[in-house]
Amino acid sequence: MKPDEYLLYVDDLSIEYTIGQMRIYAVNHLSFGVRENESIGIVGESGCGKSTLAMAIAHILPPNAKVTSGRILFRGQVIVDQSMGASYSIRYNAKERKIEDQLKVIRWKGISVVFQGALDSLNPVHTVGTQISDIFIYKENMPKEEAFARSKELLNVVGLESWVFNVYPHQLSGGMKQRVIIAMAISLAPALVIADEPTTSLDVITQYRIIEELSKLRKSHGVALVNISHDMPLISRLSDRLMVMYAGRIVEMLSSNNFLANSHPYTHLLVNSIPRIEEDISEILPIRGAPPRLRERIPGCPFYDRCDYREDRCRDEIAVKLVETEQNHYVACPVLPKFSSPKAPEAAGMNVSGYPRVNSKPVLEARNLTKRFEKKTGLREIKTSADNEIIAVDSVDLSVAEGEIVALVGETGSGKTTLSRLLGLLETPTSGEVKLNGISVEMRESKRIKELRRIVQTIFQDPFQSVNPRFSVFSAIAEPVSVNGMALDQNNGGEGNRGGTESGGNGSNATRLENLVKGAMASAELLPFEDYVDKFPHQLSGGQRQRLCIARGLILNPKILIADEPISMLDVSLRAGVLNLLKKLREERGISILYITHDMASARYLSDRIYVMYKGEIVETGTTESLIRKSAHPYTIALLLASIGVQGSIYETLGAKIFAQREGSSPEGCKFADRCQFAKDICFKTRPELKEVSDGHQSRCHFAEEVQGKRLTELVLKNAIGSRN
Amino acid sequence: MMDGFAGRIGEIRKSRSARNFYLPFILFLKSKTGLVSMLILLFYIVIAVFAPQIAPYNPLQQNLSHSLLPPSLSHLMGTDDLGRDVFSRVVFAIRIDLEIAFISVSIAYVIGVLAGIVAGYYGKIADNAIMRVMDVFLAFPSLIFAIAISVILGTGFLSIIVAITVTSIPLFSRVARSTVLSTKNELYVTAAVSQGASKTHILFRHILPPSIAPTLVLYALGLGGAINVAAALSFLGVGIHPPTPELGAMISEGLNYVLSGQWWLSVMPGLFIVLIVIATNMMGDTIREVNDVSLRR
Repeated sequence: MKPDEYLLYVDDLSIEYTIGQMRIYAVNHLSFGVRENESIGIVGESGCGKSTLAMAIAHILPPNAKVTSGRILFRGQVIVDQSMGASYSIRYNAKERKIEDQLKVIRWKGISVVFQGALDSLNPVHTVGTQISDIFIYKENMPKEEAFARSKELLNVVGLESWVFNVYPHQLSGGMKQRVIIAMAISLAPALVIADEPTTSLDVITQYRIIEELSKLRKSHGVALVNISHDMPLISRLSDRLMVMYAGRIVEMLSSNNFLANSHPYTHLLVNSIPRIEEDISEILPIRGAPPRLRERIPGCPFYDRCDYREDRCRDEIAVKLVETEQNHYVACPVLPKFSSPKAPEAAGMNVSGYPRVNSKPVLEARNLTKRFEKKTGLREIKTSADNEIIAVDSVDLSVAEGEIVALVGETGSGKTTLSRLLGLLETPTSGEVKLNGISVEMRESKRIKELRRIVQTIFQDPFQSVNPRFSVFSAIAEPVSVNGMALDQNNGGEGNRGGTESGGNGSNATRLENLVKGAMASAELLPFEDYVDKFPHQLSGGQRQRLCIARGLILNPKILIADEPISMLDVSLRAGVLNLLKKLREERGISILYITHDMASARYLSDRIYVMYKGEIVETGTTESLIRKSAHPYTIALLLASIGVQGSIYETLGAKIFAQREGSSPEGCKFADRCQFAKDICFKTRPELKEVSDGHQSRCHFAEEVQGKRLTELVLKNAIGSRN
Repeated sequence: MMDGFAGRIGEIRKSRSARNFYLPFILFLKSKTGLVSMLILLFYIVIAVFAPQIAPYNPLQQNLSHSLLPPSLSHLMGTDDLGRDVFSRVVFAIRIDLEIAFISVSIAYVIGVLAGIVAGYYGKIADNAIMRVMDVFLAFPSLIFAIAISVILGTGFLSIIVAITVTSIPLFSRVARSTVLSTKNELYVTAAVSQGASKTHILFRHILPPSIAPTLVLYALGLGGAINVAAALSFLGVGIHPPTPELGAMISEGLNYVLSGQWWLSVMPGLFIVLIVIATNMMGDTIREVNDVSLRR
């Protein structure tokens, strides 16, 4: 590799952070190059150093970061090395001023950055227009009118209408904000754009759109892209080459259209730890352990501790250097193991207990469930007029049978979280009823509610906030027992000792509580007991905290768990573990699970049936395979196509209209009509009802049979699998 | 055998949870600032409690032949214009100032924190009613308010206490209310609700503990502040009646003699005010630090 072949060349780069007395070795001896108009993806979990790398390229690291070796060249010019550092400065002294002056030509004009978290990277007190024009005015000394005109052009380039120019960021949706930021990044025609998690926190369909937008821009503007993400399949659609980073190193570099043909054990696990929609269900593999915390230098392979194929030579620094095994395929593994293909579910010992059972009785039922929120309008509050209400959940019928896993899929704002709160007895419905075990729930009867709450337990999305930081693991898991004054000894038909957890009671009581906690922790695979019991939440990883929440839910021996996006806040390698745990709980304890998610692929992996929710309504429901293979609602198809992600497939099948997002919709008529290509007059006039299209498969579409007849997803699925092989 | 073993773990767990309870105190005494401020406060308390034993002279005893003597072995801090021993007067002044501070801040703490928690936890009408009353209290600067009270109740010990109490209640209630408000919406409180926890359980296990630390910080700072206000009131002549010794009043009385060279009349009581205000501030900061759970271990 010669540096002058490349637009950007990173040469043996190492970066350390100093935090107090602690050192963090974030990036270790990393080398790679990016050619003109090339797109490379950097994939890794949080804490692997990918964002540090991105910010180093843009020379905007915080002041406590130090370049300890190597350099970065941009068009042959050194922009980062040990003497220049990679931190931004406020031009405090002559040296810093000199460095910033050198970088002036590179910032924005050479390299620009699309930051992670579109939702926070626009200034809320300026209009979108001013923020974009500012770049032209201050960097190019352009007169105001010209800058405005150019900004409007730019907005059109990223597919936004010109009214966006005059609005404030909070008036835009997440996807629109992200596109504004992309517009800013390409404003001065840079040669390289760094996109740091460009689609995180966006909805599936919007994600798909942003990816399309970025690859279009890459072609039309001839920019090189460095995309950073934790989502390998997603980023592979946008990139020519993929770099897999682990613990501050590159462990594998390969071309992105055959990322399934990887050779490093970590890459293999990373790919197979996420369920993929386009393949039939096979077992996903959890990665044991957690990523190293990089407090000290790791000799040899950083993945050694978690690897199943490790050998002694992996500890040798020279053996784990990146070597070219095939054309354009570099691997940093001396072993290069042959991977066995993932096992089919039966072979993996799943489904042995024969769930779901036919004709088992429903544990959780919702009939006509509706929740309206009043908009707060201050003193001029006018009640019960239609404009002043948000219908979060609109007459939903739903049921979960004993031992069944049911997925509820929907985008942000579809009302799925509100529905989960209604079903978890945390919110009082405006109308309709919830039935638990056949008993109708009346939210006013607080005594009965307390009993019923033991049947249904909720696992929340954010494991970092759902445990009181002051509680140790033991007291957090034991808390439900004490608040319910549960009979501590269930096996011997206990005598109903009330309270008495922390305060002790007698010795045998403490023992029983301890056994209960032990059992719950074992079920949630939080083992060994002694390692965790006295820890505090901040000492646990995300996956461990989520297991703690699951253990806390299980200790009451509920009939049903409501899991509200339980994996969306977790690292990729830890997700598989939690998903498999939920599956195992059903197999072993026959517990029902309502799995709420935005991700079709994990819904397919986990669930027996799926409900799809759009704007508070259930638009389609059916058994998982039937719903995915024979979708009968255009929205479901859009969701599926977005998660399969074949370029252009959504435009071809559903037209550009699908991306139109407008607030509110016609009060009569189908809520999806304004985004639907198949919509006819009737769709805008009459509200469709859920109707049966095949056995147990219902769709809220006037043309359900017609849509289903097109077999859109099946075709795309076939193509997707075909193109991979 | 098994029972014994598990029972022992139970015992250990109990002692560990006890350790968690005492941990902030241990950390407080382990930190330098905490220990020093604690010692200073203890020093003041000892002086206040044993004032009659410590003071070498009667603080009210005038001796005109010994007026305005500079500090010496027989009069550690010299004497004032009426020949009273400044050291003895400072000792008794500390006693009265500490009494004012502890009584007024403690009353304000209890009322303020309770009101804040009720306002934050129950919200709606309770919140509005309580916080609007607090706004009224807050609208008066404490000095002006104290002057107004002393006009109504007459100057003296009681009016100072009422003034300081009333003006510091809103501070406590606002801080308590805001911590309760933020804790109330935490996901772990929702989680507790979903497990069937009662309102009282949530209040005592989840909401009260995090609101104790910030209000304790305020309590410590309030002690220094109260002494300051008491001194300022007496300095202005609306506080403790002379001849009862009070630090602020003593500074005020001695002010006339500073320029003519008798500095000890004002400086000595002044030093004691400065020292205790610094100590209480240090204490407040240390309490805040040791209660930050994420910094532990």
